[in-house]
Formats: sequence, C-alpha cells, structure tokens
Amino acid sequence: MSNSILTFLNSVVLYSIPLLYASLGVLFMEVAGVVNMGAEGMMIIGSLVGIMASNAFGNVWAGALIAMLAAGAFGALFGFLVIELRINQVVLGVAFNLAGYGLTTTLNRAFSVDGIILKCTYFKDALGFYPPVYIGLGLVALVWIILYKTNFGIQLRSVGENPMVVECMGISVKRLRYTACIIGAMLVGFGGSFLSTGLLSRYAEQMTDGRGYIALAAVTFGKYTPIGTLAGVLIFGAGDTLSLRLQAGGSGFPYQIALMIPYVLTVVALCFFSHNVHDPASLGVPYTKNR
Amino acid sequence: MKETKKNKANEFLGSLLFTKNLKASGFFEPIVSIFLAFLFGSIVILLIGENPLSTYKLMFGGAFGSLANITNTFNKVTTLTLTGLSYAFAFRCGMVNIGAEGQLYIGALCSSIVVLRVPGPAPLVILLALLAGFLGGGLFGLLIGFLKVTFGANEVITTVMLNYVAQYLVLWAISGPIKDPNSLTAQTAVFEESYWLPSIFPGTKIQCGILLMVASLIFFGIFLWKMVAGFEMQVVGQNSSAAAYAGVNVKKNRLLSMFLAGGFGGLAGAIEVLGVQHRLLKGVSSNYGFDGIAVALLGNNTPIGMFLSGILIGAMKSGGNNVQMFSKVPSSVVDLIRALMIVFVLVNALHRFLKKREMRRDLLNV
Repeated sequence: MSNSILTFLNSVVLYSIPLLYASLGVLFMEVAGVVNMGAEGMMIIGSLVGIMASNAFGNVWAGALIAMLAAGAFGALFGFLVIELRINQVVLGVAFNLAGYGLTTTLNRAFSVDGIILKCTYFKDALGFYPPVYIGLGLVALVWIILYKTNFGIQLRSVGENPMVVECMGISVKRLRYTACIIGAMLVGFGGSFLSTGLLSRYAEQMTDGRGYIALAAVTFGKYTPIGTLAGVLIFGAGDTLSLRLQAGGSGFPYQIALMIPYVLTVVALCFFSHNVHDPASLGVPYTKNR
Repeated sequence: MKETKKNKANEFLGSLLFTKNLKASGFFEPIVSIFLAFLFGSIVILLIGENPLSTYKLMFGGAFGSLANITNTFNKVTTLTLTGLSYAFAFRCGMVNIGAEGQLYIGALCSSIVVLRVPGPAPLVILLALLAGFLGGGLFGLLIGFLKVTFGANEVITTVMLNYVAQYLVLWAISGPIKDPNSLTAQTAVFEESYWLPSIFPGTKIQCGILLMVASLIFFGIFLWKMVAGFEMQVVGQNSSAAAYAGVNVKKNRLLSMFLAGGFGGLAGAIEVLGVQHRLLKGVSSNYGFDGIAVALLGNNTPIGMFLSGILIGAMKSGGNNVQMFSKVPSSVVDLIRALMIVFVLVNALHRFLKKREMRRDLLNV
C-alpha cells in the first residue's frame, strides 16, 4: 500500500515538472505586470524545437538550450508587441497560441511522417527522476530569493505594481519588462521541451493540451508567490496523475470523463482562489511614459 | 463637387459598417493584415520547399474551383461566421470568449440528442434541435459568465478549459449513450434524411443554415446598434465603471452577452450536425471556434465586416485540403495564416505608434 502511494507521489512530481517551469515563467512575467496568455504557444514551440534539436545534436541538454532560445525569441517578440506597441496582452497571447499551434503542426506534418521520436535521453536517478526535476525544485527557491531578496526582484515587482514610481527612481520600466518577458518565455520553453524530451520521448501535435493556460491558473492559485505556485502545480500534477490512473486502470471509470479531471480542477481552483488574490496592480496595463 | 460625392460614398459605405464613414470603419487595416499574414505564410511555405504562389492558387481553386468546392466553402462560412458572432457578442460587452469551440461541441451534442431521441414530425424536430443547440451552447456560455461575475474567474482560462471538457463530454456521449450500435468507432448513427437541414438551391448542398447565419448577423446589428439593451451592453464593454455609475447593471449585461455568445456558438454546432455532417463525430469542429476569433477581429466585430471575413476564412479553410492533397504543404498552414492575421490586426497599433513617433519628431524640430 505504502509502495503504491509512493509511486503515485513519484508520478505526481514527474508530471508536475513541465507545468512547474511554465508556471515559474508565467509568474516571472506577471509580477512585472505582463499577462502571459501566450504561454501555451511558447510551450508547444519549446516542445517541438526541443525534440528536434535534441535529435540533431544527439544531446538533450543542447536541445533544451535551443528550445529556450527559440521560446526566448518569441518572448522578446511578445515583449516588443506589448511594451512598445501596447497591444492588448490577452488577445495577443491567444493569437500567439494559435500561431504556435499552426506553426508547429505545419512543420511537424511537413517534415516528419509518423511524429518525432526522441533518440537520446536525460540520465535517470534511482527514483526515476531526471536532473531537471531537481533543477526545477531548486528554481522555486531561486525565484523566491530573486523576487524577495534582491534589488532586481524588488524592482521587478514594483514594475508590476506601479511602473511610474520605478521610472521616477531612474530605472527603465521597459528594460525590466523585456527582461521579464525573455526570462519568463525561456522558462516556459524549457517546460515545453521537458514535456517532449523528459516526460515523454516523442512529439505529438498539440501535446501541451492547455498546460500553458493551466500555468496561468496555477500562478493565480499561488497568489503570485513561487511557493504558492509550486503548491498549485503539485495539485494539478496530482489531477493529471489521477486522470492517467483512471484511464489506465480497469476500474470501469469512463476514460473520457477521467480526461476532464485536470481541466475541471483548473476551473474549480480559479473559482475558489480568484477573488481573494491581490493581482499586481498594473497587470496587463501598458505603460506610457508621458501620462 | 467630386469631393462631396466621394464623402457621401464614404459615409454611405461607413453606415453599412455601423460607423461614421468608411475610413473610420477601419476597412483598410484588415486588408493590410491579410496581406501581411499571407506574406509571412509564404516564408513557411518556402521553408517547406514549395512555391507560395502556386500554393495559394491551389487554395483558391480548392475554395471556388467547382460547384462541390463552393458548396463546401459556403457551409464552412456559415459555421465560422456564427462562431465569429460568438466572439463578437462577448467582445462588445468587454469579455474575451475563447470558448466558441466548446459551445459548438455542446450545441452539436444537444441537437443530436434531440434528433436521435425526440419523436415527431421532421420540421418540428429540426426546429427543436436548432433551439436545443442554441440553448445548450447558451447555457454553457452563461456558465462562463456566471464564474466571471461571481468568482472573478478569468474567462479566457475558463473558456479554454471548458473547451476540453466539452470535447471529452461529446466523446463520452458518442462512445456510450448515443453511440451507433452498428459501428465500431465512436460516432452516432447517420440521421434520417428527413431530419437534414434542406438545401436552399435545389441540386446543391448549400443548406439553409446560411440563411440562419445571415439572420443572426442582422439580429446582432439591430440588437447592438438600434436597441437600448444593446447600447447598454456596449457601454459596459467600453467602460464598466462608467456604466455602473450610470446605473447600468454590469453583471446582468455580462451574463446576457455570454448567454447570447454561447447561443450562437451552439447554433453553429447545431447547423454543422444537422446540415453538413448529419451525424455527431468526435471531431465535429475542425477548430471552427478559433477561426471565429479571426473572423470577429478581421471583421472589426461588425456584422458586414464579419460576413466578409467569414467568407475569407471559410474559403481558406476549404482550400486548405486542396493544398494538402496536391503539394507538400499541410492544410494546417491555413491555421497559421489565420493566427497571423489576428496578430497583424492587433499590430495595426503599429501604425498608430509610428504616427506618434513622427509627431514627437516634429515637436523636437520646432
């Protein structure tokens, strides 16, 4: 019995990891006042680029790096559009997701016949975990230190609350928001690449299955703190694992209903935790200097 | 003299689009966006190793090349414009509805259940099925509105999540309760022919759903621009605090707009199963809900605009299969180009940005 609980917890952790990276990326952008509704698109690009580059270089770490660069480039573009042109972040994010799906599906169908299979892997430890599992957990602590114990983090959070004050202190709002966009997108991209190169060893069309949106919900659930976000991610990971168990086990439970679990869980969590969250005051509000 | 004539024409065309004049309607910006999206699409097509121009030619041929193609195109236009209407209704009340896909699934499910389970004369059952599709989608949309106004749950995330839920619900229904007992795959039986939506031109398969679509667009225009309730809804969309201050019930308007948005998404699903597919399949929607976002944004959320952009996106979609058949380019390139169109419509702000920069430069010169 205790053994089966352990394996359950084990897969909860494993299934949480792509979402954890994505959520930390989203968190990074949102504390700086940028809504990353485009996380889904950045993630799927990370998944495809990650597995293609891994196969090309014969090394998953190189693949992950290229995936991060690709997603980072998309983050920079997203940043340019929302910071300079002050485009509606929510609708632009959705458009990014649709473009990400369109681009990855087109490239995948044009260049591979039966989907892409990973040819190399991360090394596994005795628990069945890959190094990115530990890096991810360490990253939660690192993000906490950055956000709450460094000057940069305090500036970043201030930009999310009141950019005018930051500008008055002589710090560039734009530079901070660009940094947040690029770092955030890179983390999201790594989450995507871990999905195709760590959790599974293949690429499937639209394999992120809404995880980019779930990441946003996890950040709201975590009240914009790294530790809270981790808690949210683990709950969604548990939902994912439960859903998989119910699909596989001969419990007679209809698998189509089991598939709904992560999504229903997200909606329920949003409902219960949205109203008493203090969003960063300037979240989604474009900043103009001369106002 | 010539000037005034031009202005008159400008104003007349603009009034068709429910704005002061043609220029103010933003008629030109979508055209630039469409052009840029095809241009960027060409880069991907070149990357795949095909000729963009011949690819787009294939697309056009696939959309309008034969009577069968035109039929297919207009049936797609019907569904797409209705999902576009779903986005637009929520947009006009200040909400972002990404849930047309799920509303379409629920609408298709509800009207399939009516057709398969309710006995009675065929015309009555068809009407009932259309109504059930509208109501089913509407209640599904209302749920989103309810979660938004009661709990403050972000409607973009909840709509996307419920899209998945709706798809799996349909999958469950067609593999259990309403499954065709004679089939191995998850699908319902083909509806009896008397329950199909009749075609408007005898001899073609363009079904009368297109009339319902046009009627819905007219309703959209009249409701929002000629009725007090619609005016209130638009005020809420533009500034909800000002609306509340003026005594408009913001919550009620949000709920109503999400109900109507969901309703038209559901109607799209009902028409799709009753008029086009004649059975409920797992993939009843091929991303129609997301195409609707492009239809609404390209059409500037106005009735005439959406009618035109609906034809464009519908033609692209039905031409996409031709592209896939006769070249190395997969049909999903259409999804990419359509997403880029949305990005470029939004980027039209670029235009404004550059203008502002020029103004600033002029100020510096002085």
